[in-house]
Amino acid sequence: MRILIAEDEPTNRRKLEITLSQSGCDVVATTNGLDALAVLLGENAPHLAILDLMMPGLDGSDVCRQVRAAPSAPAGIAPYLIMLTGNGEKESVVQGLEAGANDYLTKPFDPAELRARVQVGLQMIELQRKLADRVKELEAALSNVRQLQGLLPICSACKSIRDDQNYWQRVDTYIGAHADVQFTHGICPDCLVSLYPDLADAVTLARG
Amino acid sequence: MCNLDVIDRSVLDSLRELQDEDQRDIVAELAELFAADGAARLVALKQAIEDADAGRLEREAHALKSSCANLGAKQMSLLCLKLEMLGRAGVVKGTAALLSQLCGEFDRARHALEAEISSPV
Repeated sequence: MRILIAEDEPTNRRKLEITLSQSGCDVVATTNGLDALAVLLGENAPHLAILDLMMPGLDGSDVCRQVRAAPSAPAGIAPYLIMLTGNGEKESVVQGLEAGANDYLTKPFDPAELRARVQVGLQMIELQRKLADRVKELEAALSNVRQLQGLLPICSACKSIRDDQNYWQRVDTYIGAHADVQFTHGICPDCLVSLYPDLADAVTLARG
Repeated sequence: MCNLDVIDRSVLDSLRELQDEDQRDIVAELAELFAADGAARLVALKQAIEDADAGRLEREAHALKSSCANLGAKQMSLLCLKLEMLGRAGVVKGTAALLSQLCGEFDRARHALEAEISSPV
């Protein structure tokens, strides 16, 4: 699992790298907001990022805002963003969350807590991935569903239907071609009487 | 001043929990980063005060505070917090004394860390 970190302070950045590498994550380290943004909006972007709030230039909340404002990633997965804030900075926490961060951690961070919160993020990403797959399945199924819609010109006498190419078709031919139905041909009681009167009598007699 | 006052050992112990057998000593590695980055930050802080740049004072103090906290230099971290708060409030006047204290603390922290690395208990 690839994780982006954006931290300008070297001891923190190294501590993050070590903690995350030990969990088996592939760490992409950046030192500023601009580089972090480029990675998150680029090809093969990591789905999870840990962003320091206070950085020179583009800060963590700016990065969050811009990531959320960008059009959705093709895989349909919104990146999970964890903000790193200073201890006791409640306004920073609010700022980060309002900018679109999913979670936050205060510095100096506890490695076990970081790992636990990253795990939550990974679960969220997995959930989104499953949802995106399901949507794709349903969209494919929907495109295969054919429906009869709109006004159909029909002959009042023989009930033939005129199609889009101005060609008159028997009603069963038209419906068979435009819907997921198959016809099983029989004869209704009225037609049985008018077309096959002897047969109709025999049926009535048998029913007695 | 003995080492215990300058560096909080429990912070270093928790760092050591991250130690990988075949990787470099984590405390040594972070202490090196702290020493190099700290020196640069102190220069930047001095410049910020000279330029009466409160914004820069806040940012540099904030970053250094983080670095100190990671290595257990609590007193240094507190001084950085004070400078950060003053910078945030737009105050630069009178911060030179705090910076001087901070520089002294930095030297003590570096020496304490060096001692810790060469003979950890």
